[in-house]
Amino acid sequence: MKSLTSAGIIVGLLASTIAGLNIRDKRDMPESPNTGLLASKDEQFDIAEADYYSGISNLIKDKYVDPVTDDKKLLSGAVRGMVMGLGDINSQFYNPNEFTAFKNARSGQYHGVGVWLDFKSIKTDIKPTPGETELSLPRLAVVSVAPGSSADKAGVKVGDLVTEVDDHWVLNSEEIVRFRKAQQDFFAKKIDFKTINDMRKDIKAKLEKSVTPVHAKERMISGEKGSMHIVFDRVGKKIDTKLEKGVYDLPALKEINGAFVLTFTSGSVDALKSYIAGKSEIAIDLRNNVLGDFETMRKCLSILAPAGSYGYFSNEKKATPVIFKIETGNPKPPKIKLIVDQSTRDAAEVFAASLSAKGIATLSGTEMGNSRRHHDIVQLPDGSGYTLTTGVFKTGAPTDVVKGKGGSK
Amino acid sequence: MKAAKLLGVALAFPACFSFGFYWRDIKHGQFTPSNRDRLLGIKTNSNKESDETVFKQNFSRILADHIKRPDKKELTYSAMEGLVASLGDPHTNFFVPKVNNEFRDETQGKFFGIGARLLPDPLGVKVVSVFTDGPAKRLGIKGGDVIVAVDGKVVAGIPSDDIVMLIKGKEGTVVKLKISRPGAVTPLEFSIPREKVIPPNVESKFLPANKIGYIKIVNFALEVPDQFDHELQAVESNGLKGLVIDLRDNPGGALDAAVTMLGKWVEEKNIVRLKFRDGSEETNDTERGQLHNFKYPVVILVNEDSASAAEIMAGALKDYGKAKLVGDHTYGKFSVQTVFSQRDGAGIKMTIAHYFLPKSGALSRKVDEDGAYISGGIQPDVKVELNPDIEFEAATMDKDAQFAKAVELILSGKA
Repeated sequence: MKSLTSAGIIVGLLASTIAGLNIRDKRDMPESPNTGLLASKDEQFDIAEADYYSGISNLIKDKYVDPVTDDKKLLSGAVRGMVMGLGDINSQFYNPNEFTAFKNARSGQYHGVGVWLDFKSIKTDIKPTPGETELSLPRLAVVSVAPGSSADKAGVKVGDLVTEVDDHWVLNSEEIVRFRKAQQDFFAKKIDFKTINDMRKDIKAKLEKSVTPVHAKERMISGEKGSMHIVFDRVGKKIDTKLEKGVYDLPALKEINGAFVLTFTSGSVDALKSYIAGKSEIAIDLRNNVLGDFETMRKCLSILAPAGSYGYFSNEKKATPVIFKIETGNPKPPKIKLIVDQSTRDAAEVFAASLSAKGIATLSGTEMGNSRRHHDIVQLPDGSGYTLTTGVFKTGAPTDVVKGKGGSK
Repeated sequence: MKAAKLLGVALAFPACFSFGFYWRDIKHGQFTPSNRDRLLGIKTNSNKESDETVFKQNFSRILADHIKRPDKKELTYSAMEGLVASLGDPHTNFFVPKVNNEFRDETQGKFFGIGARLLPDPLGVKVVSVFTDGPAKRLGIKGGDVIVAVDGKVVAGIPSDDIVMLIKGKEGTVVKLKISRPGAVTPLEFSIPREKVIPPNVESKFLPANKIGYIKIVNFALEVPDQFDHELQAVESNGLKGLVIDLRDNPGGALDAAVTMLGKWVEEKNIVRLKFRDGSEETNDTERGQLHNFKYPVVILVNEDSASAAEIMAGALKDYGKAKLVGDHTYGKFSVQTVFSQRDGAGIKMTIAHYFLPKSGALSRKVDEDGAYISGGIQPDVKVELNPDIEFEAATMDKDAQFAKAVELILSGKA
C-alpha cells in the first residue's frame, strides 16, 4: 500500500514535471508544430523573443570586449532595430535629443532652423538593375515652416527637399542608383569613359562627405544657437540658404486675420469651446498643423460636429478596421470654413476630411498634405522614443471597401 | 510527522512543475528571472528585469499595432540587429540564420569555384587570369575568354558579382559555361567541376631597370608565409637594391601568418598582445632562428584597405624600425572577433579582444556618426595619395604614384 502511494507520488511528480515542460512549450512555441517529441521539438523551436533579448544582451555583457556601462542603450537599440526594420518611413525612431525636439514641436515650438521635416519616398523612373536589391533611402522633405523663423525669412517652402547640410551631402538612393545604371551603360559601351568617370568622381566626393537623412533631420530640428548652411531642391531648382537656429513658437489658439488658429495641443479644447460660443459662422486655420495630438483632435471634433462615425482607420493586415467616431457631439454646429494647405497633415487632415466629408465644413486654401496616418507615440526609459503608424484614415464606412466601392475621397 | 511528509510531497509538485517549466533555461545555462517573477505574480523594478519587460511590451505593441503586421521572427531579428548595433562597433554584427550559414561557409572555405579571376564585360564576365592547378586552367580556359552563359542562362547585363555567385557552388558539382573566345567563330562549351581553388595570395615581379623587387600579398591565408618565401627567393636571385612589399587592399586573415613572416625581421620579439574582457592577455611573439638577412632597404605600401593582420605586419615593421611605410593610413582594425551561434541558426559576430602593437598600441578606427573616417590605423612615413582616375582604370605600375615613391625612397637612400 505504502509503495503504491509512493509510486503514485512519483508518477504525480513526473506528470507535474511534464506539465511544466508542456506549458512552457505552449508559451514559447504557440505556432510550432506539435510533434509530441520534446527532444525533436527542442531542435525546431525558435527562441521566444524575450528570451532572445536577454540571451543576447547577457552574452554581450559577458563576452563583449568592452564592458557595457549602459543597459538602457541595449534596450533602446533593440527597439530602434524593430522600428527601423519595419521598412516604413512614417514610423520613426528618435534618439533622446531628437525625441525632446519632437515633443517640443508637438507642443507648438520648433527648435533648430524653424521647420519640421519628414521622410518621403520620391517616385523615380530609375529601376534597380536586375539582381540588385532596391535601395530605399528616402528623401528628407520640409512639411512645415514656422512663420517668422529663419527658414521662413529665407523663403524655405513646404515640399522643399534637403540636399546638403553644412556641406555634407544628404544620402539619397536616386543618385546612387543613377550611377549604378551608368556603370552598366558604360560596360555595355552606351556611354563613354569620360561621362562615367565624371559621375564617379562626383558621387565619390559626395559619399566621402555625406550625412544620412536621419542625422540631417536631427541637426536641423534641434539646438537653439548657431547657424547652418542648407541647400534645398525645389522641383529641380537649387536653393542655397544660411539659417540661424533658435526657438520658434507656432501661432496657436487665437484669431489671426479673421481665422482661429487651431492646434491640437493642451488647452485646445477649452480655447475652441470659448471661441465658438455665440458664433454662427467661424473660420479655422489648420495650416502648419503636422504633429497634432489625435485624442485632442477628436475632442475638438466633438465640439464642432454631431455625434456619429466619420470614417475608419484601415491597416494592411486583414484585421477589422477601427471606426473613427465621437460619442457626444454638437448637434447644432456653426457654419465652418477650414483653411488648409500642404502643411495640414495627419490629425489635422483627418479633422478636415471628417468635417468636409459630412458637409459640416467647407475647405479653402490648397491641397492638404495627403497624409492621414494615425501614430502611436512611445517613450522609452532613456528618453528616446518612436512613432508607430497604426492606420490610414478613410472617410465613409469600411463596408464600402468590402463591396468594392472604395471608401476614401 | 505525516503532516510534514504531506507538506513535503505537496511542495514537491510545484517544484517539479517549475523544474519542467524552466528545464530549457537550466539546460541552456540561463535562468531568466522575469519568467520566475511572472509565474509568482511579482512585479519588481530592478533595472535588468524592467529592460526585458519593456522590450517585450514594445515588441508586442509593434507586432499588434503596426499598419503592416510584421512577421514575428523578422521583428525579433530586427530587434537583435538593433541591439547589437547599439554597441557602435562595425565589427560586431547580428546574422540571421541564412547569413550566418553563408558566413560560416565563406570563412570555412566551403565556396568552390573554377579558379579564375573575372572582370565585368558587356557580354557577361571576362576571364582576366586562370589560377595555376585550378580546374579552369586544366580544362583549357584562357585569359581573354568571355563567359556569356552559365548553366544555360545568358548573363549579359547581369552585375558581375551576381554572375560570380552563379558560377560558384558546392564542391564537386559541375557548372556549364558558354564562352566567347576572340577569334573563335562559335561559342565554346565547357563543363567545369567546382573545386577548392587557392587564389595566388602572393605575387612578385622584378624590375630589372633599377633592380627593385616587388611582392604583393593579397591576404594572410595560412599558406602565405611559404608562398612569400618562394617569391622572395625568386626576386632575390636577381640581386636586389630594394624590395617593395605591397599590403594595399589586404584585408588581413590569420594573425599567425603575419607573426611567422615577421620572424624574418625580428627574433623572439613581441608582435601583439591580445586583451580580453575578463582582463586576461595573450601574447604573440616571433620565433627564434627564422631571421632573414635583408641586405637592402624594404618599403611597405599600405592604404585604408590594409586591415587586421596586414596593418599588424606594417605596424610591427614600423615599430621595430625595419621598414618605411608609404601610401595612406591603414584601416584601424585592432580587434578579434568570434561568432556565437544561436540555437535557431542565427549568430553574433562579436569583438572579444583588442590587439596592441609593441609601440604603436591599438590604433582603432574612429568614425563620426555618419561613418566618415576621423582617426586610427597606422600612419605611413610618407603619405602619397593616388590619382582617383588611375584607381578606376586598374592601376598599372607605371601610373602608380605610391609605388613610384617607394622606388624613389630606395634609390635616393632614404628608405
